[in-house]
Amino acid sequence: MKATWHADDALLARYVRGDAGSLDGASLEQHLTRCADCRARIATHVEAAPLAKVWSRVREEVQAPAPSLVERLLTRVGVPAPDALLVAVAPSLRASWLFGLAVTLGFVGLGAAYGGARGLTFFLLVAPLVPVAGVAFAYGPDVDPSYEVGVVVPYPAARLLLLRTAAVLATSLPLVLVAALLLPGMSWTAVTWLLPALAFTALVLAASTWTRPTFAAVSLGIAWACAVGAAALDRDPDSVLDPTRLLVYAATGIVATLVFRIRIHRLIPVGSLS
Amino acid sequence: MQTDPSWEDPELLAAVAGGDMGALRLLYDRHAPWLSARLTRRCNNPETVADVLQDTFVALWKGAEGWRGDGEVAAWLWGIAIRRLVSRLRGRREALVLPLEEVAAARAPEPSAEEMLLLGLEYGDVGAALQRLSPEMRAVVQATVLDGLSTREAARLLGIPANTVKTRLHRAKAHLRRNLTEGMA
Repeated sequence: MKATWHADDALLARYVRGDAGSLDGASLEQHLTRCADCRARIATHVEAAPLAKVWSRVREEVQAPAPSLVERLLTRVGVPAPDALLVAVAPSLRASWLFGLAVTLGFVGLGAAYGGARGLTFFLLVAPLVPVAGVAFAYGPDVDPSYEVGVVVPYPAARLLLLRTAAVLATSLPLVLVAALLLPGMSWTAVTWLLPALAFTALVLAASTWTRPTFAAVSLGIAWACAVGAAALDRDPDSVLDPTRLLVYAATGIVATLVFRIRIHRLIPVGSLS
Repeated sequence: MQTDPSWEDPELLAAVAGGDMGALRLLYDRHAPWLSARLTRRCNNPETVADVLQDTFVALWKGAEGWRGDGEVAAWLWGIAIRRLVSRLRGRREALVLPLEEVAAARAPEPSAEEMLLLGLEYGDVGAALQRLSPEMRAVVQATVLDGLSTREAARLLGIPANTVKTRLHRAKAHLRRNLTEGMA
């Protein structure tokens, strides 16, 4: 249906100001739903700046990618949305990482099921390094696609690294623990490996205040492999977890944690070292 | 596909359903000003109006295919906007969110008594009769007949019990009918 009249500019102006009476207002509103001309003309009476602001919000909301599963899970348990996003984009929380972890643990379990000492060595070699690798891959210019964003955004790098470390520990430790408990004849080893694992994690965190976390993790991994290898050659792989060494791990962990706390402010631009 | 400013609203809506941001922009430029003005007459908080406007166009983006293809796109948009306003005013927790199909269904194609009243409002004497209603009754008529809300939605918007909306609307219609028949006689 074509309208037989059009609102004049005075009425449109009064309406936008809120000065049109209820009759004129209601009448104009009915007209506006059917008349594109008057809709176009009323636009000149409405302030443009607030509308432009709303449009940019609409565009932002429409174009934002849907939050990932990890992100939604984190926000559900009360982590603020920006934190959740930064934690969730950590490479070590991706499906590929978790899948790799599961496969590795599967091999460890198989190895243990076939040969007692060899399986144990394998487990000891891998298990304490899992959270370390996770932490190293959670942060840093080598692996994090959002690293540049993280460096230029005024967001504390230390907070980010700690949040991601917590997330890595929360996902990887239970998995490895389950694998350990499934291994036959492990007894205390199933629990004591947690100590070097945590100490190494603290070491990588502390080292990340000097250098790239991936570099620290790889060095630590090689050192650990040598230690386990040497113990295995002595036909006593369990010796890497004997009481005196456990004390050393605990001490190392504590010292590394203290160093990390003191040097935490130096974390910011790891990339500038290279 | 390139959107063209000369396109009619339904064509733009189809393009939006296909994920065309340019079409959404054109629809926004056409409809945001009057929607904003009309919402401002029902809610004096500019921030809420901005939020509702944002909600409306985000809903349009997500549910453009929910439009049944008949009637005015403007009327359909207003149906979304006024419902978003109702749910915003109620607070996010218990937000009343109607699926867009319901909004579309609310604009039935056959001319109802209400629509005849609307036509009368624009062209005839209904306006004068409406003017004679008390402000409370006029608010109810505006929310239900003019804005197309259900009794329950109107109750939420006006902050009164649903039964009160029903009785006021009933009495308002009786008034209008009497006034109009007097006018014609």
